[in-house]
Amino acid sequence: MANSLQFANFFNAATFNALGTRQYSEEKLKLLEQFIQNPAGMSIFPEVNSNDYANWENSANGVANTNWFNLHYKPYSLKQNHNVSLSGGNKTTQFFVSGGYYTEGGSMRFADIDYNRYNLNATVTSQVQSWVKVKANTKYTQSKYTSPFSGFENLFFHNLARMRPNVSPYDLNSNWTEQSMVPYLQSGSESREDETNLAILTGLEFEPVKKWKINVDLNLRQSTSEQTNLKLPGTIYGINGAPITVNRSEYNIPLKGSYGRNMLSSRYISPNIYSSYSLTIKENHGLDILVGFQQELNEFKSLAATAQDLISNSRPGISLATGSQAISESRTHWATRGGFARLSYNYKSKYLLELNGRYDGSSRFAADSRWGFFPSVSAGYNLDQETFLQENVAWLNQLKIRGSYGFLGNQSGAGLYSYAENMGITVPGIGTGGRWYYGAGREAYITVPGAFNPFITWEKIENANVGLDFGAFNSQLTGSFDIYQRNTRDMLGPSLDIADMYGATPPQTNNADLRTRGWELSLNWRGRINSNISYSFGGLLADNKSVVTKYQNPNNNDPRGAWYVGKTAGEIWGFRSPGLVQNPEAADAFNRLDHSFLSAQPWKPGDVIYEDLNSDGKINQGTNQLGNMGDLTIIGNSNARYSYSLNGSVSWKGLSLSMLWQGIGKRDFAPALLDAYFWGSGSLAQVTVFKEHLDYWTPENPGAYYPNPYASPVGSINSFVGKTQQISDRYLQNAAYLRLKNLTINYNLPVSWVQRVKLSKVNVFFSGENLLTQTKLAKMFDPETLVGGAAPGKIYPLSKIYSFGLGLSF
Amino acid sequence: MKYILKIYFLASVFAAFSCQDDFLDREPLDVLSTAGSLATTNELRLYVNQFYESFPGHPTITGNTGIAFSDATSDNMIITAVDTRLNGNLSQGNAARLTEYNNIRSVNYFLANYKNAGGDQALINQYLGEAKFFRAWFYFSLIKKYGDVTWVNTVLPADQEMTQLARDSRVVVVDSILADLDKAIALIPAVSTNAGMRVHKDVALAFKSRVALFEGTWQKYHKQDADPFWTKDISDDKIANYLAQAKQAAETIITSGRWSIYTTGKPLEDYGNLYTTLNLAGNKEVMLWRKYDANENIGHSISKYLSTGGGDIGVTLSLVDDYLTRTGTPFVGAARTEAQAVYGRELSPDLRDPRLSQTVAVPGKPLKPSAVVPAFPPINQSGFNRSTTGYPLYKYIEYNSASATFDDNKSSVPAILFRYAEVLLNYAEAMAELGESPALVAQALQPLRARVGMPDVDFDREYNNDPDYSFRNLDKVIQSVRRERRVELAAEGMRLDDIFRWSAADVLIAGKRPLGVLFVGSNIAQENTATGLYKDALLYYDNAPSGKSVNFYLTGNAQASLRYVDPYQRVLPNGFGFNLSRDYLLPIQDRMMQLTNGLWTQNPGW
Repeated sequence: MANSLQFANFFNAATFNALGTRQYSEEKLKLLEQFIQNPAGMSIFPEVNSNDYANWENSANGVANTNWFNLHYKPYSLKQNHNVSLSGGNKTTQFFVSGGYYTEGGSMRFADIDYNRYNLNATVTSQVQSWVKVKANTKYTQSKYTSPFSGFENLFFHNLARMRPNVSPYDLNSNWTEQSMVPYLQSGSESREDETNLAILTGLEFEPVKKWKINVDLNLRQSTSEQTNLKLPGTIYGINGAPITVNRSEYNIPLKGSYGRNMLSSRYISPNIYSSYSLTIKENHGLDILVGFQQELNEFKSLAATAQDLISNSRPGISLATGSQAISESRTHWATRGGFARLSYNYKSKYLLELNGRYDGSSRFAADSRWGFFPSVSAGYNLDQETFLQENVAWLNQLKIRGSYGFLGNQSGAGLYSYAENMGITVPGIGTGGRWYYGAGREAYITVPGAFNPFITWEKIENANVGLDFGAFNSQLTGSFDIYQRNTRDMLGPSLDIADMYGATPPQTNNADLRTRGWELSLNWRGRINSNISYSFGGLLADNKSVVTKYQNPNNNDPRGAWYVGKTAGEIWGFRSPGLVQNPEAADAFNRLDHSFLSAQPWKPGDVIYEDLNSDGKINQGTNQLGNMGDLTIIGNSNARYSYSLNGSVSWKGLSLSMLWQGIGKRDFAPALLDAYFWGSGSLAQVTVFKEHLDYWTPENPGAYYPNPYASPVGSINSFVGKTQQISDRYLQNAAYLRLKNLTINYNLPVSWVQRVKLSKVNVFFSGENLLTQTKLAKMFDPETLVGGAAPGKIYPLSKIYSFGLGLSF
Repeated sequence: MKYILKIYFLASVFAAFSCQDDFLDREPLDVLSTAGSLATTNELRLYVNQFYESFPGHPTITGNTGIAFSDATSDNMIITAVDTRLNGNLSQGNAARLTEYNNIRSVNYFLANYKNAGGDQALINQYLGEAKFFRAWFYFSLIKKYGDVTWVNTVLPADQEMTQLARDSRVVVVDSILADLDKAIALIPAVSTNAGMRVHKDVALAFKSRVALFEGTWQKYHKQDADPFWTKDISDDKIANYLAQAKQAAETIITSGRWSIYTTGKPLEDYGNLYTTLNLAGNKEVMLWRKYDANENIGHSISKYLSTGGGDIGVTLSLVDDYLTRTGTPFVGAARTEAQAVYGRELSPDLRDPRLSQTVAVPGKPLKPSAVVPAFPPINQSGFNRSTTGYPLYKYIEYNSASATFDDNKSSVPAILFRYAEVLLNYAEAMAELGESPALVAQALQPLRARVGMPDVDFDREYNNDPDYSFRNLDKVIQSVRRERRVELAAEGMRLDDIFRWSAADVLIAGKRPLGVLFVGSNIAQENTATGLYKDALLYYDNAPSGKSVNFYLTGNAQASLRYVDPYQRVLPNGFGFNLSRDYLLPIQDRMMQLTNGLWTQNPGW
């Protein structure tokens, strides 16, 4: 973050460029400079002599030098991870039990954030009768997350970034100011989520006749979550030390507090019954037949209640409040059912052939469009079984060529009820719901039925794949290579665009085909230098690219936003820019072009030149149709290409070191108009200045990276930043990166020590995450958190995390 | 035995999962089905309720939005930044989707299905009437922005071809709006109190007079200017018919006697109090209003921003000057400059129409529980603490409420949507435009004058023919009616529509630059010294001492004896760049032309 003087100068330049005025007077700039040099004896707030928080507006008032990020962020956070496991059994019955504990503290200085999780796994298998086998696997996890962000986490990070450094977090008595946001983090507000997940997988396996198996599995998952939200106002202090209760309306904290609970539960039940028979004919011909049935049912329910005006802040409750209450619920469910069959054949385990078929139905589709049949076929050839290879290429242990072709059905992209016409209802809550007061107060309202499509049906994914698996040098080297094409037919693409007279968002339809082609390569080496030292390293490299091959957009309208045939997923359209306007003559030359599409304001030195690619004297988007996009062209692609990971480990006796690097080889990121993190300037309340932003154009700094900063009120800012912040190749970011994701040092205590205390294994470890990053991306961003949060960059920070742990096995 | 056991086992397992046919039929659980929908009067009511959400409200941020602040897109008020549309800086890229059609679709769904409902016919009529009213409301919004639009009165299918529909002439659309309103007027009963907070007969009548007056004057004045915005084959009779409809609708309300101008006999307070009374239920002037309650987090932010000293907004000199003197004469000449020489005097109810001091902040009046309006305007402050012109807006401030003046969304003053004063103004203007008796026009306006203790309208006495006055060439009666409207409805979000329907941007906007208070030549300049009230943030103009820079602009040159604050001088050297043959209507998105196969065409000049 820039210091207060840098910020003030930047802000002055930005408002002067747009409005012809400056918010920081010459006198104020002098005070800021003096404060940075030596704050001793200076008033941090010359404008006022009261702690009335409205005076502590995020404005030019105040003489401080606050780095708001350093104030709130800790440089690192700590994790702990502990595991215990136990296994054993006899000839007919085996079991495995393990438990673990994980805890993570937050990386905020004043916000007490805590996450912890317990988990317990138990597996038992038993051969009850010679023809019946039972297995049961239970997984239980319980987690708890608490933080003071009672619903304002996104706003907190949004506000943190736009705080001005000249505003002090402390008031005249060194208490926290309202603007510091610390009073809200320490008011006792708590949002808490308790989650429990229980997953049971039980199965019976019958073998009534030799080689005829019948499996009956039941998969059951029950998860419940309870969210409680206690919102309490913050406390600041007046000049006389008297406490003042404050509640910032955008955080939606009632002055007398509120308490809410939301109970969510979901249940998933899936029986899976299948039967297989295998037979061998004349020794060399192996045949497996399998038929089965599967169904799924998922039910979700939630019930939320909130009440405001707590009687006691220390004992909050929904019935311990005197103000208005609000209740809401949600209930959804979905189900699938289907049958499947498989026929596998092999000849001497050398040639493999498999035929598959599934017939599936889904509740997401109306009865007439509900069912789909999805066949597939695959074949393999184990070359290593060939005697000519075994004899001639002895170093090769394994070599398999395989291929497959077939269809899969996908229903998950469809809305749960998009086939049905329904009307939503909105009921009034605290600060939510209808805002109109009728004679007897606010009322509920019903909204028009959303667009629906009774013909919506399965997406059919056509897969073709060729692959190779190999192993060599006593399997020290292993690897595989795959190349595939995935053709999603009848895809639920973006809704088609129709004229506004329709008056709604058109419904989802199976209107698109998308073709993805890609490949994956993995290689691993595992070696041993002597009996004490072993090592391994390996890597994965993968790439794919998707192209739209069918879509209903006859005029190829709006190729930037909409789909069209031939569109590559992730393509970024933008202008070409040869640089910044350097002098009045260059500005005149640009102003002779019709640039009213971008901004009708005249260009001046320091603004960005956008190239008139089609030389029509206008800088615009043409008719916004493919082939007539004016001066817009594809300048990059936001999809990740060439994703890779590298891992390596070395162990010496009980000590081992391992690391994981991961990265993206090619990816572009285009900062949008008014992305404050990237541009620094924007509407008055959103200016966010990092050191990088100080490199903006002035006659004295003609080689600047950034153009003229502009800051003005919300309604007018676009006409200014339209001259500088268009998506263009000049400001396209290279978002490729390489990151040391994890480094772990582990020590297994010597077996002789461990056995003395009747344990089978004890290990201690230390690990660090995100320790090193190599990227050319602008420094205010993290390559892994470009998406999410209130805007690019405005998100809970991905910090370096150090953890340590202990594992015990009995 | 073992064999039987096996078979029993397997059979029971399969039986447990044997098919129920309806397993995959999963209807939604927590939303209403459309099958047999709108079957009760209660459903009709809840359905129509959605449209009340679309009524405008007060602003939740500072700027130029909401009822209270949207006059900052006109010649009444300004914010720090120049208005993009008035400056001719809108571009094709600013063209927006015609989202009014979303609500129109919703109304059409209602009209196609309300017959499902059984029950009290009076209630069915009420909600049907409301639905018609709202369809008129949404179409009126469309024609104001875009002119000709497609009249859609069915629920269209999601089909590219079925939605290829041409634009209808605005006359066709307005006639359909008026027909909808006539139905609403016939269906909805009259009430004599606003306490029901729903649309009633007189609201529909008031809206009808607003729409008909808008269209009548739009066609009349754009036709007179021979610009591209009137309907080419429209006859003068048709125009007169709109004006007559406006007059007749207003007259129906007036003669009903159900409504009157709010007064308690306090000319210096009544007008202002109308805007700060939290509960307007039972008020005889207010026909429909939006209530707020900050305790339920249903609030707005007017008081927070205005009580900081101006909210970075300011009332223009042009509006301040338009208020008559207390004796009912134009505020011009020596009397004007003499009053301006002492800041605040030109606002005083001793000298001026008392509505001025109830609209613009006058020094010494309460501003917050612990503060009063400062003696000199905060033109040297920054951000929200500043007034752009030196005339901060005062209407709507809840100066008694600590929370409202502290924080966003804590203000609760109501937003008035229809009041009787507008009905009188519509009535007077329609009559003036129809050339009816000036005495009747004056009589219609009399209650507005009486409330604030101003003399009755006298068209000769108040005729302003000052060479600088924008409307000096207008007929006396029309000039007076327009002034009365501007003054009475200041900062109520009506001004831009008025300017556009009068085709008056040529004299009010294009090439003009809004001004603020008198600086040189008044006592304000005396405070801009090292010992004056502005000592902490001195303003530099013309020349700055070394190391300082000019940050403030005044009219005229350094020698001039009277120099006004000229906030946009640097950024708008030639005044607003409003394009008279383009900017009266907004651009249409290119995709509309493409998606309708050219049935939609672009608006003139775009």
